[in-house]
Amino acid sequence: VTRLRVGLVVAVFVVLAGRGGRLRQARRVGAEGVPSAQGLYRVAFETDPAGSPVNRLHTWAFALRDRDGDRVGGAQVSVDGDMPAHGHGLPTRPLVRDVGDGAYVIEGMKFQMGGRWFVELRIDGPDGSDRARVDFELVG
Amino acid sequence: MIRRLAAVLAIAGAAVIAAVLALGPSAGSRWTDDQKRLLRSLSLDALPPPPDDPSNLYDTDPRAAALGKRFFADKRFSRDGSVSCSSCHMPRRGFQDGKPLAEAIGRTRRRTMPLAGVAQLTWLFWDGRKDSLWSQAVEPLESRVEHGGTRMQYARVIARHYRREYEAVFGPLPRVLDRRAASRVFANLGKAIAAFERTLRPARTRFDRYVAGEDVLGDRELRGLRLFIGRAHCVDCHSGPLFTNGEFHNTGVPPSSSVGADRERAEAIRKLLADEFNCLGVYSDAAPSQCPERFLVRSGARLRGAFKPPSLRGAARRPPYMHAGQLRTLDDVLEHYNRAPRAVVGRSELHPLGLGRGDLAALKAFLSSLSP
Repeated sequence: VTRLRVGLVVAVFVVLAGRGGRLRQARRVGAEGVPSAQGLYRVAFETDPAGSPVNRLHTWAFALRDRDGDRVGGAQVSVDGDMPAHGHGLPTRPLVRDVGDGAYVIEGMKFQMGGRWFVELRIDGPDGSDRARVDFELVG
Repeated sequence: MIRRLAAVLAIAGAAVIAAVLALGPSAGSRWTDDQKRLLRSLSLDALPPPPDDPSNLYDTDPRAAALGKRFFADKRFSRDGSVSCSSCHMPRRGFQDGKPLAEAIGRTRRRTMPLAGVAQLTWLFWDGRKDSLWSQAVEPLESRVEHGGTRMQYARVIARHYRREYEAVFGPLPRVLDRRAASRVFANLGKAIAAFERTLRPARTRFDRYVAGEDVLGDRELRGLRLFIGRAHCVDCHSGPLFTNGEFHNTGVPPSSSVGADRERAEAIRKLLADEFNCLGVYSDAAPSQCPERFLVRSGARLRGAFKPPSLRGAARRPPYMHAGQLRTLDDVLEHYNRAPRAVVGRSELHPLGLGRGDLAALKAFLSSLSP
């Protein structure tokens, strides 16, 4: 019976290992909140950055919280991004819109190819200025 | 008994993995699920209808397309009656001319681009200085080295030879042809040509048949395809059903000896924003919020020396290559990407690939499968 269990575990492990890439992609990036560099804010992405479409304009949504977990409205947020292996940056200049109650949307997001990306939010809010960065991999 | 059961389970597990890997377009090749998804995204079957152009109210009007087809081939739309759009965008040669630099009234600074699928692209010309197909179409008409005429001359050609067809689509021609009225007619000339160009779709190729399940690619072509979507990184920029992402990249292509150092995309952006025929201008039918300028990157070092990757559909049959025809053969192109030389202008995004002769020959074989 023990060997049967071991066999089952090995079989399941082998099957999962073969599909590991999928499992890694399926994990949400930044859902629990990305802390800003100085810890002034936390950015909780409602859109999964790693699930972004490649080469298509789309919109992200996120909630901004302060260090106590309260939602932060009225912040000025700008967005930039880059692909370290290529250095060409985002092909667009996305615009951030405050939609109320600490919720924001980023319009004009576009990634022109698959691979490793990061997106950085520069936040200017009531608690001061800070930056929050999310790293993720897009499958082209 | 238990040992046998464990063995059966292990074999079953292996069989599941083998099935996952082997279910490819061809029984002879093995692709992962991600690779299969990528291959399908490159297929012509994945090409959506062209998006509507909000700056051109007439782009889906078949009467405009029929009129635009006639405009496209009419040499009266040139200074001396010697040049039409089809003089360089030759329908029988995939809407290009096979020359390093286009030659019309004079010689231009750029390689003629093919047109199949062009209505899918947001930015037009090699440097993206146009934001719509109609705005692109009017520039060569007044360029002194291309058609060389004027909008006033062209408005008169339309009034004299196309009045009925023009008015059926665009309404009455203005009674007095001042510059502003002529400009309106000129913009509509571009909008009709754009409606025609919107109908030009790429032809189906062996690659598309392969993705659809036909076993039509040989071993060398499949090896090339595997490199294309893998180690050679071609698919980073040459993605989607047109094999281009339509954006701008610096790949360190050396300047043409006859043209000199390349103009920069920053200059193209300045031209775009100052263009009376852009999406934000008075001849556009779009609201500003519908225009791609809204999210346009307007400055920065990343724009230096960047050009749009061309579609690779049919590319194997249309040397020479690059924006000024700098590279004579497909072998030269593959060699360039393999070596990844430093850029003369800005910084190249390329890294040396370290591919061998056999790899390059395989890539070349695969690229040939992208021609009808």
